[in-house]
Amino acid sequence: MQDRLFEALRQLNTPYAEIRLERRETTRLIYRGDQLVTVDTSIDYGGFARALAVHGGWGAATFTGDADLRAHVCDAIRLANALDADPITLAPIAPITDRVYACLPIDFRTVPLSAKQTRIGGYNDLLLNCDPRVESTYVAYSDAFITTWYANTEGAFIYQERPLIDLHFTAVARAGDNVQRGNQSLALACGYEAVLDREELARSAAGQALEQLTAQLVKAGRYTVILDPVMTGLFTHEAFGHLSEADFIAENPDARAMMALGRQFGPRNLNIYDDGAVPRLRGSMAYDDEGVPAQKTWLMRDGVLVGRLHSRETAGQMREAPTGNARATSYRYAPQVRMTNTAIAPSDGGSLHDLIKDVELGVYACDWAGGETLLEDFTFVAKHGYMIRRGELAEPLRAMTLTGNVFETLRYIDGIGSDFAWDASSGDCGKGAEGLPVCDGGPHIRVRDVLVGGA
Amino acid sequence: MDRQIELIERNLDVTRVGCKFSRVKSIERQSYRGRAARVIANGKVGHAGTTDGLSDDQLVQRASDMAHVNVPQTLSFPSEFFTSPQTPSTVDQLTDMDLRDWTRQMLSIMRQHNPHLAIELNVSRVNETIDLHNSNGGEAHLSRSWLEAETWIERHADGEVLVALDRFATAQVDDSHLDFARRMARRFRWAQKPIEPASGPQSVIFSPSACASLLAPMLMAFNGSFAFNPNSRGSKRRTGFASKIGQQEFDPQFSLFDDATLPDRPYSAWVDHEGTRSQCTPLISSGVVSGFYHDLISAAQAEVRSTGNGWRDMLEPPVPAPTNVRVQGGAVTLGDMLKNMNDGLLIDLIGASDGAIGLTGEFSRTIVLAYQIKRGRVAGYVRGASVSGDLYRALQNIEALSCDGYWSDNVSTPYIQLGSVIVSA
Repeated sequence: MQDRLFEALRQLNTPYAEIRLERRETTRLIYRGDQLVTVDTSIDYGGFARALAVHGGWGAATFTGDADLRAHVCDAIRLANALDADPITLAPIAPITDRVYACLPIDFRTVPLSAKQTRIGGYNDLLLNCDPRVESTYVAYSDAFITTWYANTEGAFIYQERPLIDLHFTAVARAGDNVQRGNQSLALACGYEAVLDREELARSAAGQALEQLTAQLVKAGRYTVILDPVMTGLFTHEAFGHLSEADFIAENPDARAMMALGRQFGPRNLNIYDDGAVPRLRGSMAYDDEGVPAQKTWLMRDGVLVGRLHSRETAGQMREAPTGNARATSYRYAPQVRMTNTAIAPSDGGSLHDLIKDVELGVYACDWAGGETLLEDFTFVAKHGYMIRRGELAEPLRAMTLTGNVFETLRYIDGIGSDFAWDASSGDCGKGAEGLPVCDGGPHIRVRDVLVGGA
Repeated sequence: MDRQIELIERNLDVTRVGCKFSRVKSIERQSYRGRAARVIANGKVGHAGTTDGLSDDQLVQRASDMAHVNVPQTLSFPSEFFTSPQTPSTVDQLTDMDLRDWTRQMLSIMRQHNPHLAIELNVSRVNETIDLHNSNGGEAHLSRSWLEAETWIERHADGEVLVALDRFATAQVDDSHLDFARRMARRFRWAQKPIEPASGPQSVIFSPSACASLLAPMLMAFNGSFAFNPNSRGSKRRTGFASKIGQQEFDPQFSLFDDATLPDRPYSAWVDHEGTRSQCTPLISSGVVSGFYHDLISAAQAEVRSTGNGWRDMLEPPVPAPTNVRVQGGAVTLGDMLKNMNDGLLIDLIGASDGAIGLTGEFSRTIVLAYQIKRGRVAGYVRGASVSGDLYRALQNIEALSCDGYWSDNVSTPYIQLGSVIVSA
């Protein structure tokens, strides 16, 4: 394949071109209630060719299969030349040749479909029968083995294998007309061993649905909020991580001023990073989709903005170094600046108990259900939570929306716990319409004056 | 052995012009050819898809190996023959350069009143062809094209950052893309003075863009595979609205349709991805729950006919999915509604759904952009507050529906005025 890719890229009339081929083999099983409703398999194989015009602008061609690679590259050059765009300068990197193989303790490709069905069906039975109030379930399993080949006109060639495995439990519980959901999931870049012995995870989905039957909507208003590590991760991703993606700011002088390096954003013990090299997490990879090695990038140290996430294009525009964050959802998409695994580092705030003991009236927000950011404004949804009254956890709460301005909220962080957890649940980051596996995490944190939407 | 086989080939060609910071930066051509097989053997179905070079026999074998899913014995692939009329779409005639020029035209309108707006805009032309055959003699050949645009606009001024984002789609070359651009420009023209809204219950007008987002979880509740769930504890069960068919659940002014027969809409088609003829399906008629959208499997489970809503991604099995969704309009204009509003909010854009599937009508969304209306006039704009309530309850007592709504992607609604929603700031 290396020879075929280099042959397609040989002696082109373009300052830069690249090809990325991807083969993704997927198996899915889905139970709804007591029935298996989906079993399917697919092989998706195709490529993405991209080229820079002499005068500027990208042309790109995506295709299925791997025939006529040079024709696709030439198509990309033709499209690029049709534009009258500003010049683009890519940050320089040393071309790398490497092969990265997946090492799976239990390779899910060797596990028979019948064994997968027995295991997933068993989890579904457990969920469906754990309480008479659980009236329906949704249990989904998927595995995907992704192989990519990447080459560019600078001489880079990278072969990578990446596994993804995903297990999802939803329980729907009913008490009269009151119908509530609970869900839990697990998504990692590893082998079949990840989905063994997950009975507790299934039970906790049911437990969450049952607890929601008696939970109340929070009274809307401003509260001191404690975020659990999952919500801290979501906050880090939605509120701050997206602002750190340099394509938001590279060409916008106002946004560049807003995100000037050296600006103090948060308390002195606030440290935030993105790390694409953490083993087994689904945001991890050895190289990004421009052939840049994954790395740990500090975004905030001691509350001060110190870095941002780059593709080669944004790094070139801002005269900074690439960070290995040019990621594509699949061969159907161009790489964009994307997060990998993003987290707030633990600090000196102690445990959950330490963080809530001084809170007279507040909210403990747990587990994410969704989120989005509109530059400095963010919204995220917690699946459930608890009121905090006089320093103790009190009555359970239903899903709630937390809304705020990132710069105000960062200033209002007044407690960062000493614990830490990555959120290994499923769920993609959607930038544009492109869902991409990421991971985020952190310790418990305490934030003052957060707008909580509810009743 | 009782065996039915379905083979489908789907070709998708997309040309996308991309703009960043108000400048055209890229042009991209995407060409996919995906094929899939679905096999029903002795009442069990399996599915396999590929963009790789597998033969039909290999695909059928892989689908047969996957056939573990029980389906109703009455399930049968259609035996009709359908083919799209061979009238070339005006969208097909657009060249890459036309698309680039369209994009520049939209950019120009969006920036007409404020050249400092930072605009990200993607404009795409999509051509889809489908060739479907099944062992019952059914055939479908579908060809359709449409245009879609999505935009994200930022305004940085006086320490305030305002963001507006929206989507647009059409299957005809007319001036509707310019209307979309004008609507985006109007948002920034109206949003001149930031204002803090009053917290508490109040009367609110939702724009069609906001309504489209608000209705998304409710549309899930009209998905036949969710509503008619035969799987819970071995018994047939009707959940949510399926247990309320024929009942007056909403205001008599409220009617909701799924309609794949509308001319010039992107999600219209003669036939769906399973070979079933498309139709207009009333979901709510004058406030009465009246129907659900189905694919073949969910229809068989509900013991009705498919409504022609079996749609699929390139490589996955078909699922029930809405096409063009519209809410019947009323008699007044937005101008009339505003004139009659003494003190309230016109909510134009709201944050995305939290993934709810319409089990209940509860919602809580962030206000991305709203206008404070005082004595019929825009007094300022609001962002970052939240709006919450029970949508199903609010739709029982609609205060007004306008006659001048618009399409937001695949959903067309009027401006809808609702009481009983709570604004928190």
